[in-house]
Amino acid sequence: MTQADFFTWWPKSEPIRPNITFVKEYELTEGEFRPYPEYIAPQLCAVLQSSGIPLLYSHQVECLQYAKSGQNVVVTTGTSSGKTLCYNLAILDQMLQNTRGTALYVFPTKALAHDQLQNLQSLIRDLNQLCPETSEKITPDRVTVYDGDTPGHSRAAIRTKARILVTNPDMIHLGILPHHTLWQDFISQLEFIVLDEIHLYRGVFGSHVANTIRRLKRIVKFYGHEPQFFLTSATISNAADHAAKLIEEKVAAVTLDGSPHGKRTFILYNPPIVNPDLGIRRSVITETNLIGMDLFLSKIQTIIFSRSRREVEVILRNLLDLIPPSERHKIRGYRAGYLPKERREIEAGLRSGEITLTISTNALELGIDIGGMDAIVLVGYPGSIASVRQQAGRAGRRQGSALAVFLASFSPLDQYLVNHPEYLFERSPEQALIDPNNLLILLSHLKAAAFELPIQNGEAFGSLSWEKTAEFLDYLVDEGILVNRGNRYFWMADEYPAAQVSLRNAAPSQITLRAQTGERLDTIGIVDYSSALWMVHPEAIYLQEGQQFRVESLDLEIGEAVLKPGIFDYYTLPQRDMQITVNSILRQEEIPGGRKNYGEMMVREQVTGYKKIRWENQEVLGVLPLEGLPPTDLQTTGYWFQFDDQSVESLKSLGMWSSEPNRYGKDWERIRQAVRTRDEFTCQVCGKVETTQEFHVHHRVPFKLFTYPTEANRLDNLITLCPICHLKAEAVLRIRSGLSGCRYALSNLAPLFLMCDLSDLGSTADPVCKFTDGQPAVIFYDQVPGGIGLSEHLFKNHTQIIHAVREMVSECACKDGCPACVGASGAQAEGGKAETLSLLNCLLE
Amino acid sequence: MPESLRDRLKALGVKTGISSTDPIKVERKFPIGEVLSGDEIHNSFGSVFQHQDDYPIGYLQGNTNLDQPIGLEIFARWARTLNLENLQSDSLLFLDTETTGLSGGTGTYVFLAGIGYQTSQGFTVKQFFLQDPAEEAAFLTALSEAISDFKGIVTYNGKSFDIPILKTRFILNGLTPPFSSLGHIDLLHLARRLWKYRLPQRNLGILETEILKMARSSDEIPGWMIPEMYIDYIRSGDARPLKGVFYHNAMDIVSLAAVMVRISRMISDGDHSDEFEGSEIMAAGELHQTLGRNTEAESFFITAAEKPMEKYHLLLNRRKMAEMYRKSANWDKAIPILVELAENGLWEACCDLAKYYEHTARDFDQALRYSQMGIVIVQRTEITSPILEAAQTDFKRRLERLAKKANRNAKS
Repeated sequence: MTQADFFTWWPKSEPIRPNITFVKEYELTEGEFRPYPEYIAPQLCAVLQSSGIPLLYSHQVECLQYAKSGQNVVVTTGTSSGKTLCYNLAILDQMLQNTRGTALYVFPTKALAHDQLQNLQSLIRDLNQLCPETSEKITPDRVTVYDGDTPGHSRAAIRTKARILVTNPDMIHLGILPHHTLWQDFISQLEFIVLDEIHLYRGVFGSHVANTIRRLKRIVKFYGHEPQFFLTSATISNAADHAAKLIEEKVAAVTLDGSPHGKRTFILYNPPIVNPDLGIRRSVITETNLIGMDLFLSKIQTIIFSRSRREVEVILRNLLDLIPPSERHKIRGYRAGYLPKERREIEAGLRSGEITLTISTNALELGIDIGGMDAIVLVGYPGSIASVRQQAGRAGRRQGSALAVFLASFSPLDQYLVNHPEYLFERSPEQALIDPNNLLILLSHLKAAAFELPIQNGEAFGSLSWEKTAEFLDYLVDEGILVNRGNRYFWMADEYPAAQVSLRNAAPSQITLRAQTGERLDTIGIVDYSSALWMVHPEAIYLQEGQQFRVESLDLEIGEAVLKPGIFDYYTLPQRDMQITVNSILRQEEIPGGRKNYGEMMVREQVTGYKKIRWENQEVLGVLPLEGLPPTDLQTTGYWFQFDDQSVESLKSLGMWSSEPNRYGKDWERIRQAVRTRDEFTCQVCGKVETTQEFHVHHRVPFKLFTYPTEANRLDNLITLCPICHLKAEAVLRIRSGLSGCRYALSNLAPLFLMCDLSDLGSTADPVCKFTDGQPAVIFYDQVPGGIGLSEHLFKNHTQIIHAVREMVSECACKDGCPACVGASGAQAEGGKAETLSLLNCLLE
Repeated sequence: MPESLRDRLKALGVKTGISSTDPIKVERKFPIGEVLSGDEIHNSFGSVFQHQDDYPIGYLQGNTNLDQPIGLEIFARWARTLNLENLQSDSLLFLDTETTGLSGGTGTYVFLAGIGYQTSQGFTVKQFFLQDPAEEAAFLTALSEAISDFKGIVTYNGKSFDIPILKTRFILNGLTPPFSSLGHIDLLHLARRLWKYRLPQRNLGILETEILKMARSSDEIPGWMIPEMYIDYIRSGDARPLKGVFYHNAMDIVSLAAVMVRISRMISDGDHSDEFEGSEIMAAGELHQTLGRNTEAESFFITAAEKPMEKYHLLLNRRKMAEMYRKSANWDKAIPILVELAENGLWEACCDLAKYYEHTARDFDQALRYSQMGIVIVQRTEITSPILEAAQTDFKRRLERLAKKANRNAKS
């Protein structure tokens, strides 16, 4: 059957149809075309027209108009909408008119930079060929890349000859700014700066980049220029604001996409439930195999996007096994770890159609030109809505139809999204958040700025006021790094500050991972200090690129962990003790059910032991202690909400758990008798003795948390309680349970609103919290020293987020709780569903 | 009470209070003017402290007299700064700087710039000192004005270090660097060539002790301590420890000039003076050869051959001579040396001889003889390398070819 027929038939076919939760059809759009503006150099128009672009898209013209008026512009139209041409056209046009101006192109990764370099050089080459007189103004050799791989002997030539320099933020920070006098020729003519894919500049990395831009602007100003900015971003809800915050200037936004799109069908797919009691669904990998095979056998060119490199390899292996050997060359994996040569091969194979099925990480999400695909499958949520759209955006050619399938995994966020298509299709709630004034980050960049050029008294750093800047500078004077003379602050130390800062993390110290591969000890990775304590504690099982290692030793003083590769049938989970102290409450508000707070806190964590858990059946093989690991202190910002006594009361009135005999197994009556006898018919809490009514027998650890009734009913887990004490005990359990559920659900849903990773936010729940006068509280904190704005955002959007959480929990198909809403029952128990809902309802009167 | 920034940074894990920051307790400040003699030079940006030392005629830096004329022609040709060719050595400026660090980025300052030059009364060293970073524009301007009297600069590693840093300082202060119209001779590269056989390392300190045979006084401060000392001075205002830094800098400049004098003599007189060692004369010969001065090169190689040298160097010398003669097709002189080298077991000489006899002299017997000699040497060598393998192949091919030619001759 034809492709179009397949796309019509497949969603209606029986194994597939029942699992689809939503279908969105995008009809063919013709696109909005405009003629080339008259102010654009005719040679440029000619070369583009001759390469198959007779007209421009409306958004490209819109961008050109803003550019012409000298404004900064951010373009947020979708994938493959010709965003690159927006700025290339504007900049090349200027270069044809003015022979001296230069431009800086900044890409977040080297791979993307090299890709765009080829495109641009190619365009200029064509231009020179078609219109030879343009060779006097611009030639391909005047466009060069400058990054960590640029050989030393070419660097001097590049500095004087380049008109367009292609680089990345790390290189600007480390290689260009501290030596800016060598770049005098380039910088003193700098007219344009392009910042591509700015939605990636978020969190810690984004905050570093924002500061690097502050330093860059400062130096360009020293040489007498104020460049114009072109930015591009994936669709996030605060693209224009984010752009403005990144460059600290006004930015005009171009958002309406004028590019044409073929017909596209977007399907949300949820694997079927296989265990109704527990609400467990079929594994997402199994579904991927089915769907992947369907598409492959129908010769539909597909990319399957997966969330981790390991998953890519697993899926690839599965599919290769299912496919006859003669066809196997049509299936490839793709991820950043492959050699550049291999990646170029695969990209070419995609363009030519030879490779019909690719399984990839998000490495294929960005920019790289591979043409449009017939089908895209997303295995699980890739971490942000923007990513979903970028990945799905790979589906679609000019003609014909295309298919995108979002395959939900068994995680709360995926389950929520698959039932709430509005998040994926309408306005994204995601915001890219940065905090350029995070103390640690700011400090390191102020040092670098002073190294680059003495700071004048009164000179503000970016949008930071002079008063605040001076505070930092005076601190650095006290530390003996700067001196304040004659109205300026001078660098006066023999360090090289930029070398001490990596743009991609905030924590200063790192642990190197070294493994015995063959005869020597090779470095296989780096982990920051505090993560190392729970990720690579002694005896931990560590996974990387599909390989298992066991940690033999961890030496914190020299910063090294030694690992040994092996094959293990279990994995480890660290047991972490946590203590939180609140230093200051910055904001506090009454809310239904209690109070919400935002403030500065210190989180002290210590790894005290670890669990060994068998891969196959999640059986706990043992719990072992670990001694001697130091606690880590994290000073950061946090957000917490606490429940008042009324809310707690409403929990208690939920109704008692019945103590029906058959609920606790067939021996229950006998066991109950035995316990009451052992306890001498006395309440073990208040000491009252049974009179007329039989007392209750209470499970210390709730029955439902055990896999086997015999374990739950062990005598040491049972205790005699009078009805009143029993009520109290159950209430405590309920609170604990409800709080855990809230914490679990909220922490899983938060990334949807914050555009961060699950690991960027720490959380805990405390039924008797010290800093809330003993009221039960759920606490969240930024995993970055000094905080990076996540907790604050949660505080501000509390109501909206709790609404979403409640929706998610109440809509979940499970009976009593599952990993997709409040946490699993069983060994890794989290919350009870009813208890969690009760608390959530309190918060939303 | 609001927490200070310092407390908050400490809580975030920043290690505050570096060990050497305890404000250095002095009773009062000791400005440089009280520590060393000097003048305040005034210009439109302010004033600069300048210290001067004069070395009289006849002054010896180690074993070398500074006020010798230096023939600039060779230096100019070698450094390819031909604008210096016909000048006298008194239009040269010897330059050395002391900086606050080695990274060379925009945060590295030149705090002491020393210049030395020949005068009719001997040799003068002037040193400009950056008393305060706020005075940098004045400091650089004074330096620039002093430089403007000269046509060329001589440094040691200045091309990679001193000049780029100075240029950076000028640009950062919005001033134009004054170096574009000056010729630049960086003696480091020349020293490496001339003393590569005699010395294992060729930094200025080694040249000073081994070639000039000079020892510095106890005023000397080792180079690695210098940046820290200036930084301490900036914080404390006590210039007394800097006296040694001025001495160090001045000695660097004077030694630089002395080395240049010595090099000049080596290059011009090496073939008829007893002052120099065989390896130095050979190296000087190589330099002449590089500059196309084959007559001089020949004279130097011949002289070198008669001086006591390590066996390896003697052999090298002979090879260089043979090479020189061979390149200029001076076969009368080349062949005897090549034969000597071949008989001493050098396969390269066998190869050269085989080629000569086969293609130039057309004496196939001799060609055969040396090809066979060569292949035996190569095959006996225990170490293998691509070069030896290629040589072996080459000899084999030559033997085959010669055999064919011999046959043809025999037939005809």
